[in-house]
Amino acid sequence: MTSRRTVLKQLSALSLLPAAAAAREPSVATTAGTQRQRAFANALAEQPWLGGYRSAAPSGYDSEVTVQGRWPEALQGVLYRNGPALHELQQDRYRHWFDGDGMLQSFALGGAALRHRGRVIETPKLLAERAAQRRLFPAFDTTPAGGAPMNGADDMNPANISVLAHHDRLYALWEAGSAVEMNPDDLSTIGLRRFSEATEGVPFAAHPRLDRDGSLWNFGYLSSAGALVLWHLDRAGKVADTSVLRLGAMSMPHDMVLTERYLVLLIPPYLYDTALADQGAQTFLEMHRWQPEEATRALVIDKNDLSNFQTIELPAQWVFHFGNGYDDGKDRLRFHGMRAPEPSILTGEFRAVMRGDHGASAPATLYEYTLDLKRGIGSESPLFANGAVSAEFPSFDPRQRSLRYEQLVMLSADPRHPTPHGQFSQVRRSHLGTGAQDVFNYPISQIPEEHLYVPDPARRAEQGGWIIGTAYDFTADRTVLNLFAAEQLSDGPIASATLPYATPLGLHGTFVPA
Amino acid sequence: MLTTHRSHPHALPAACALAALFAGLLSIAVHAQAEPAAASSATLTITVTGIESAEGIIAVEVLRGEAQFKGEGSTASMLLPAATPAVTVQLPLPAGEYAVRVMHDEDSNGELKTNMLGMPTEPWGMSNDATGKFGPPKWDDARFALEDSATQTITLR
Repeated sequence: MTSRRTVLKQLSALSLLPAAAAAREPSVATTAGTQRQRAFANALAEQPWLGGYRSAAPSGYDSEVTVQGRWPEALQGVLYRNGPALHELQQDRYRHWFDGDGMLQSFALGGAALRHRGRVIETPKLLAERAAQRRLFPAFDTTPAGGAPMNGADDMNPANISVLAHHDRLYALWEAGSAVEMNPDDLSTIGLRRFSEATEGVPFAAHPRLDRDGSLWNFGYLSSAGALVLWHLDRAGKVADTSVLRLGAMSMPHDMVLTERYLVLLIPPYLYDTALADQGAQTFLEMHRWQPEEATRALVIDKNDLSNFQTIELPAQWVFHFGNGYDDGKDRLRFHGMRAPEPSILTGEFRAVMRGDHGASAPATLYEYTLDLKRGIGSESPLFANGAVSAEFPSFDPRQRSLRYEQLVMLSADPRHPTPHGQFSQVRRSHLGTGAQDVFNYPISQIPEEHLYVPDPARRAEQGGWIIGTAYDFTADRTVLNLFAAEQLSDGPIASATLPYATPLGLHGTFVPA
Repeated sequence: MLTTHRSHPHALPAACALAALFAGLLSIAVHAQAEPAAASSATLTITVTGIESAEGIIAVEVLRGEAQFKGEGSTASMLLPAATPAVTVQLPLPAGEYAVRVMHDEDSNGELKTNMLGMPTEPWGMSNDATGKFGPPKWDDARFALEDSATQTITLR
């Protein structure tokens, strides 16, 4: 009997497989995918801004272009960017912007010329689907008909959200699977990264935070098990600590805050619910139910004991990204985040652009959060008057990480400057103390992507740096890279370079100094 | 109110040793639960395919009914030497509703290797090649009827 129980216990481990649609049942994905492809193509003919949601060239990109303007000598390095880039396969178009296979891009900078490369990330998923010439695995919000059996979340990992440089290695990151290691020079794919035996296949989310000592913190979530994993890698990339928090109902936390003593995550009440499968949910996204009557749980986790955390309740909300955070005295934390009242952008705009449409979604705007650890209460307030300005993609001077800071860079949209595309149209630097705004309005024909604050090593924190970012010029159908002097953002770019092609609108990047 | 929770990093189900099983079944390839011989009127043929290495042990477990599938005992368990690309075993069973779970203990260390979340990192498989729609396979995904005879070909992944 003991022996049988032992086997059973062994095999019962299978019950902790990650949540993933199995794709064995026939679905309407192929037909719907073909219809989406046609709808998108028709809409693109009328609205050229949708060109940012076409697929990348499968063979990738490689070019050298001349830099216009004055490139600072002190700024040498590579900007890496990632984002969903293959939205179709055989005319079968994905339903959601976050579904597509990732493409890693590098912009090698440092003088009169810029070398650009782009390569689709050759995940096991991509290789299998390329060989089959059809979609085999479920994506975030599309489930293909007649798919292949799955062993775990890495079977569907498109490595399409962000890019991390740490311990001399480069990784493309998804949210719910392993980091995918990349060759930083030719952007070829090395493969799924196994940091240790115990962490093989454990999710490593897309927004790890670098600490002041060079170590790295991250999290991952396993919705079907209601589990949140915490990671701490040392400077050399070795696993220094891990923990699993059993939280019950799980959401899709995307980013976290790092202070000197704590990690902070928000778990919004957009909750994974297996009962939704019986009500027709076909995709991972559809397995989530918005429950506005429930609180957002702010988890404050002790960096010295990752199993020790405090929960503070905030109103229901949806936050993708945080700015910086810091300990404000002994028992108080302060941080900034891009807060939306609810997560409709996930099912609204991010689906709409895939069928060539505008989506009506609740936009995010900049909030300041204060958590009082002693009293166990949190407060939040919008930093833009009446919240009219929507904002996302926060970036700050990394020299101030986990310290009190004053300046936050972001993309924004202001209803006083309407655009035909309804996407972000500004790069903004906000002074968090005085409320002063330094804004560059992109030309109406350009859609900016994430812009990053890059420090000038010769100058003091928040007093000397650059802002670097890309934009899609849909009139010329070209991708443009722009560099700004951070403290004179509204003066416009001090240098720029135009690629001889356009690459798909992407998500996150990182700048690696030479 | 301030509430502090603690959760233990190793509280998740850990992989347990199969060593006891090896010790107890050294010369017995098939261990069937005591059923009256007369009741074993049907034959189940199980082929485990997709075996990528001839190293190690293929562990097969036959479960009758949903209760066993959910953890209450089993009807038969077998340890077979691995062979590429497939191994087949036949066994007499009473007619009924069954599911079969298999795993490949590649390094013969007596454990199904799992990561810190308890997710298997060695190959495994389920009758009907069931994967479940979201999360783990369910009884309804893996069940099959055995009357006179049935064949299950299970692909490891």
